[in-house]
Amino acid sequence: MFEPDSIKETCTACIRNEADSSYMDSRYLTSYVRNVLFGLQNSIYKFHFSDSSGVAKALAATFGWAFTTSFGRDTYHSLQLHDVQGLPGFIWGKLEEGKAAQLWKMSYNADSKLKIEIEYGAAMDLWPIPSEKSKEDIFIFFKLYNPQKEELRFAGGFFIKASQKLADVLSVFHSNLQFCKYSCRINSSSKSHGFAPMYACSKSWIMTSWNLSTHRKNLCCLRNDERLQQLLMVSWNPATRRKNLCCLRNDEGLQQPLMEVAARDFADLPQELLMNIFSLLETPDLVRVGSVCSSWNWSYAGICRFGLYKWPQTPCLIYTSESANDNVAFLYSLAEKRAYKLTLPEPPIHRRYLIGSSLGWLITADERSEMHLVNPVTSEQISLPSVTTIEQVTPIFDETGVVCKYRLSRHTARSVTALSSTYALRNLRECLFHKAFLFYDASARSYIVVLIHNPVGQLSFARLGDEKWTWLPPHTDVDDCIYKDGLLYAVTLPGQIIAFDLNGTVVTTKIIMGKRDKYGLERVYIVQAPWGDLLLVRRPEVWIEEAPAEHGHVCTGQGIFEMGAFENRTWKIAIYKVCSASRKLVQINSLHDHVLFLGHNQSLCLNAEEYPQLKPNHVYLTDDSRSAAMKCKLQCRLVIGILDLETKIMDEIVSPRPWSNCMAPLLIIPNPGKIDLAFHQQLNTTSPGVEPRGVAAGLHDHPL
Amino acid sequence: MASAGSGDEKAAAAAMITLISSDNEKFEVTEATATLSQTIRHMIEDGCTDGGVPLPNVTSKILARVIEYCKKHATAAAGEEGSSSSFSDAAFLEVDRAFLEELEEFDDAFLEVDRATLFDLILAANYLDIKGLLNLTCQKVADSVKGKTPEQIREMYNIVNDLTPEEEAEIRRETQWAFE
Repeated sequence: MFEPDSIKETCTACIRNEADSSYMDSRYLTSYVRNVLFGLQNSIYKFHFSDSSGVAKALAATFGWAFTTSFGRDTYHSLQLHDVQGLPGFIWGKLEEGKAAQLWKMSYNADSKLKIEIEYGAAMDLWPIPSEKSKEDIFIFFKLYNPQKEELRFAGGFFIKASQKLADVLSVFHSNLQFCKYSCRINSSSKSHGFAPMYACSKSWIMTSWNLSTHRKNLCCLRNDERLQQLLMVSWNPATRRKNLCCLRNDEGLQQPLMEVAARDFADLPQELLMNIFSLLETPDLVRVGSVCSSWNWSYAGICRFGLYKWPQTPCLIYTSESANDNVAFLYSLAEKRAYKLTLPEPPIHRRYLIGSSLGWLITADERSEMHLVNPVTSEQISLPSVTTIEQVTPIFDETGVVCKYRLSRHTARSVTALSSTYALRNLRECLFHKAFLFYDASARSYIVVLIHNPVGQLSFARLGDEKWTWLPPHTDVDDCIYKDGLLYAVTLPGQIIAFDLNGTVVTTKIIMGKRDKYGLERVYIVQAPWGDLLLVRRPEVWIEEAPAEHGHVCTGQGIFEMGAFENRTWKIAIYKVCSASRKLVQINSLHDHVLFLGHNQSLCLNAEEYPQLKPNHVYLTDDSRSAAMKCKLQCRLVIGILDLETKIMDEIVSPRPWSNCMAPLLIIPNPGKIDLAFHQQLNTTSPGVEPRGVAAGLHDHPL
Repeated sequence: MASAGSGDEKAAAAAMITLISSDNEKFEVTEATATLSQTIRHMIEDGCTDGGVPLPNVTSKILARVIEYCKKHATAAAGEEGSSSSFSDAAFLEVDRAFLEELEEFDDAFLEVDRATLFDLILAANYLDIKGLLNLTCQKVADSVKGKTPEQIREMYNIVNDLTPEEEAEIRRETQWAFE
């Protein structure tokens, strides 16, 4: 006969029987349940955000992997029979019709189960979820129950995020195995926790079950807590009689080895471990391991879905070439020192302008000057609001009502700088766009595209899903942007730094740093350093005439004069630390172990210790002069290279230069994840005007 | 009441932990070595190590290797702690670097194992929750697949491709570029 170890307040640690004194660390259970957790996370995510009937199959696949075959198969059949539009409807419908018992019955049939019940969403009518929780919060409640003996063995519950990093989920899980704390919460009548016993079956419960026959003797028991019992019994099933809650018997069904020992092959590594390994890989390697076998593919898919891959990845150069098809772009990996050939969706990438690169997405302007987001790694593409919704742009229609030209007005909020002019569809982009960014706002959980455009470097922004651009007057001469802690930081040519809060009903601004008197023909960048500071970087705009013989893409830059010019005119890059308290800039001469990436990409600073293929104290530059297109026309050389901050010598990134001069290459961080627009739109529609909830979005700043 | 002397003896005895492998071999290790494993650390904290800690998932062969790793890293950790108080900054840095280099060499040599052992080490590190060892072994696998095609990876790790050609084509559809 087992007895609960009454010494332990939490009752999670020790169990005894007369024959054996054994130990159950909560880790045992953690390692036992973690695979399931991940499966559940994934499933719930799909429940929520997919309307495809394939969800049922995905769910079954998940359970088939994580759960015992018998139950998994039953579930599968059951779900197949009701191949419906989205599982929530199915489950809810079933429960409402009172047929839930059918689902539950299956779990009764097994000898001993770990019950995992998941409560999710805002529909917590019977077991209210605290108000700070959102639809993305999943409440996981689990208990061990022996239906034959009608004994509850084990229970607990906690919240996880649909997009939470697995390791964090596990740590939550681990800490929540302290059931005493949990039951205290239930005991507490204070409204702050919002937990209350359930008296009927909530329609938003999904009950799943996991056979414990693979688990060894070491299980925990539960404190004899009257109210917890009540809660558990009622939520379990009204028909179930309350039995001795704290008893753990020597059950033959539990005398089995841990399931991990069954793994004998790298294909059978637990998913969490595979993901652990995969999270160390660069995108091309990650994509390749994803097609090794089904188990590896599953881990790969999970990593992409939840954004658990290494981030940021080592940057790559992206460029097109005249010698390749119009839809082809090349991705040159700085880590592998090789190029990959990508075929991208229409319109042809070679004829688009690349106006920005952030979070692994290119922002492009096509031959109608319309903008797209495109992820070259996944070929995913999202159209942005029409260029005609920008404040200064008006469409001109021909007699058949088709847009044939654009009029660009030269006004700012304060003045009209010049007469407006008319542009052909394809020419507007040359004059209009300066630089574009994609940011993820974790607090509002939405993506924001920010555009620096003419006249005179003004800002507009749009959230993904918006139908038009929103103008951000009156600031001008903006040259670079960054998004940090829910604020948009913009730096202007005179060195003014402005912080915008885009999340309120009215955009508020704050000047972080004032203007300085003089500035030359140069570019200004604002960079978030890994050690926390903001950096301001100034880089002179350099035009180098290319010798006619070197026109094209064979230019190796080995001539002495050429190298001299290249070097002499670009070494003046100046890096400053922004001291926002004193409103001063402090120049720094060395980045030490760090690396800067400047160009049309979102400015980036990385620690070379974590990226051994990158050169510390170097700046990777691509050309982002006001008109790189003009440079090409004038046969000027694009300034693309690696600058050593110590010697001030510029070197080639790749030689000979493989890109054609038609489009300036830019740096991109390959991102194997996807933007789930349906996910974000659903979030937006379900929480209109809700204050930002302080939600951590998992491993990265963005749950791509 | 126990006397002070017997209390000390008790403490000294408690500082040794017996680990029992799946094939019933017993390993005596210091508490400092054993607590590199979070799993064992929790057991020690909860006072559940009397009579040894059975590790039914770890064979004696693997357990011996894991203990070798823990001993080395426990010593290094103790050395670093000691040095920080007794050396000047420069000397400390020097010692620190020497330690790190030695540890790196040890880790490199430690990973010179066959595929099956590496596999078992990963599982053991995970089960025992030894973060350093888990990172080390996972990084080893990650490094080994870099730049490899799926075919080469399957061959290297003796993995049977259970994907149908249709599934494989579907998986590769959007990311064909990585396979060329």
